[in-house]
Amino acid sequence: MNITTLKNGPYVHAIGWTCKQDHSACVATRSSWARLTNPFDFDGVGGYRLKDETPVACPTDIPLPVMRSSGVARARSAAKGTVFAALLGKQLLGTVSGRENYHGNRVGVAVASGSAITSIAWEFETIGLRKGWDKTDTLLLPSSIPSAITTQTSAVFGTHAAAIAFQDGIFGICAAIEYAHLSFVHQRSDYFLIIGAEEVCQIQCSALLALGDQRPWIDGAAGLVLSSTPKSTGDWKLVLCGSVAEGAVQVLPEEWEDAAALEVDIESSATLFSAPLVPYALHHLFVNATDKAVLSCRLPGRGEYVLGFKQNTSC
Amino acid sequence: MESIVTKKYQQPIALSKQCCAIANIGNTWAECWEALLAGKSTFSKGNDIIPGWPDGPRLSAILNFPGLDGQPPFSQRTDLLARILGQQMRGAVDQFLTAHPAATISLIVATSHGNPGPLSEIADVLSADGDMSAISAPIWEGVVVDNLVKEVNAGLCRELPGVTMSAACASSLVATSYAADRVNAGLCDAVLVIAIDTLSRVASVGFNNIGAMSQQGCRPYDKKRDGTTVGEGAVAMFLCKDGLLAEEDVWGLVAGTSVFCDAAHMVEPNPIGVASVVQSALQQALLQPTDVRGIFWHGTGTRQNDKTEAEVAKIVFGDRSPLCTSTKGSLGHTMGASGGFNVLAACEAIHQKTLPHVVGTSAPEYDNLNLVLNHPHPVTPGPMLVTALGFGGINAAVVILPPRELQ
Repeated sequence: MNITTLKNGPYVHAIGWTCKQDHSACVATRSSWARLTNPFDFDGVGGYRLKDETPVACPTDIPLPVMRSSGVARARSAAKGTVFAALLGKQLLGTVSGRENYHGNRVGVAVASGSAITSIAWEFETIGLRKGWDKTDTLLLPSSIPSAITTQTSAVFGTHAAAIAFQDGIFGICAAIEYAHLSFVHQRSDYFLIIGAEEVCQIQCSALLALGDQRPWIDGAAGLVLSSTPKSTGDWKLVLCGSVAEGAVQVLPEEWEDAAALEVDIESSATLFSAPLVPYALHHLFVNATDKAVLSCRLPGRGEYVLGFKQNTSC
Repeated sequence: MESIVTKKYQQPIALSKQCCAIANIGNTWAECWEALLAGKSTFSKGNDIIPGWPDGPRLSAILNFPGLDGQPPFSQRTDLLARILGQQMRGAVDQFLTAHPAATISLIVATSHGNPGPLSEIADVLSADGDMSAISAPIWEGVVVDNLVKEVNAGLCRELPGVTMSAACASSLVATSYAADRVNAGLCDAVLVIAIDTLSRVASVGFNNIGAMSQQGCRPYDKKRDGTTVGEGAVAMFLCKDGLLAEEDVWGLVAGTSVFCDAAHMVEPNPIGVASVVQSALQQALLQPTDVRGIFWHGTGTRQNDKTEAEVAKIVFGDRSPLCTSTKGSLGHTMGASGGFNVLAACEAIHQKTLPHVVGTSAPEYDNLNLVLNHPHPVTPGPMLVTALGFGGINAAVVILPPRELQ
């Protein structure tokens, strides 16, 4: 199956992620992102692992001053994933917010997360069942739906062009990148913040253990800033974008045969902890590629999502 | 606030007559429409639908799942509904691909809160005796796997590439905009949009605790309104490139869509933000406010929502709005699916030349809203506006034109 070639694809302006140790955000634009230390190893044939194998705390715990510094309103009632997305998003948008044509009305936000509502809903439900439904915390309600992570972070950034949440983990963040492209070509926005954010929550980790799934647990956020126009020579432009069904063969245009390629395979159909992998994988790919780069993400039962980037030669 | 100047669609995006809808008032779109015109409203006690449901006001629940005897288990409710919708749209998709074998179709699933059942069932087990070994693998999977695309595809007996997205109660309309943009940009020839939300304990208890649930049944815009009726429902819409459907199969044309997150408040809507999406959608469709023949507002029946929409109408339409309505007095608030019901209703209104009335409302509060009250009202076929407002200030609007034969 042929992968769609985009006419006016978006440009990757910046990549970044929150650091496991102190939740600070590390962000870089193209000229300096080789200096970012990627916390993931990718083996090129689908496998990935966290370099730091120190066990991740369960559940995620963020110190109160860090939560407050995120700017998220009522941060203690918000998902930890929202706090991570806000901490990272502020730094990522900082790479473009000083530009002349920047306006919050022209900036969209899309976040993929498999965990952002679980701990909120879990707290609400368990208190309701144990103490009575009238004892539940009403402040949790706004954070109990998947889109809260995008609307609450949009409120922090003052961005308005869109605030959309994607499920489906690694496929969701790929779809978010495509959504940004559509937003640009319809002149709905100029910049798009794309984030994969996860927190570690006891009940989901119990689920993974019960299902025998040993994937790395991720607490934090990783993301990109996409722009509708290149900001410098050498910016990576999205040119190929599409998904193919399980079992179908993806066919890339001939001139892409020599592209640097990276595959990321998710162990099982669980989508949890897979959304943030795309920014890490793209960083790994771009640092090692010359002029063309292809990322293939595979999810059992769902097929493959392919993103192809070409380096811009003029600005 | 200035509206965003969006690029016009090359051709309006066709909405197919082939659709489906499942709600408290019917298991097909035809049943739902008939019930809307009849002013039917069926609201149920949660405990009658799902054993152990917290006490609270009545809900707009699906009483009969097509093909099932009785109510499905809570944990399977969303996935089953997604599969049923896939089954019901299978013929339409097969027929389209028979006519256009090289056409590409994608799938967008829109939902406000996904599948809440598995987490609730695990919480029930923990609360009852804590024996986690009693939890089956499918229940565990329900909290770490996003199944909706897979379930719709299982119903379709296909593997459409797809994704699930959420934009609170604006999910359907944001998905409609996303689908129309995909088709217009040439990324695919058609998109099947499935909008789905089922009963959620967190939503119904949470809405009740903040005083947003009606004790008497949703009465949008009424002076005595006391909130919304939280519920569930599912809609399937098929959007495709103009010219791929036979003329008689085109139900409406999507000419303008807009999405905007005003981010003004976590739960309360903002009139400036909502007015902005309405103006942007009209601008993309190259229409003036005076061109609009009918409006399907979000119309939840909460004090704040309805007040906001009255203010939006003043900003966009001046002292008197076009004929307008809300379907929630009958359907209740089907959350992320609600905009989908309104898109179908807008198409039907164009064809039937009739706008359904606001069920349950007899004493409207806002003079500037030209509401259809007491019984359905004739409407001239023409541009219809559909709006949706979501928590966190995510709002969307869609403008639908009549098919060419009715223009």
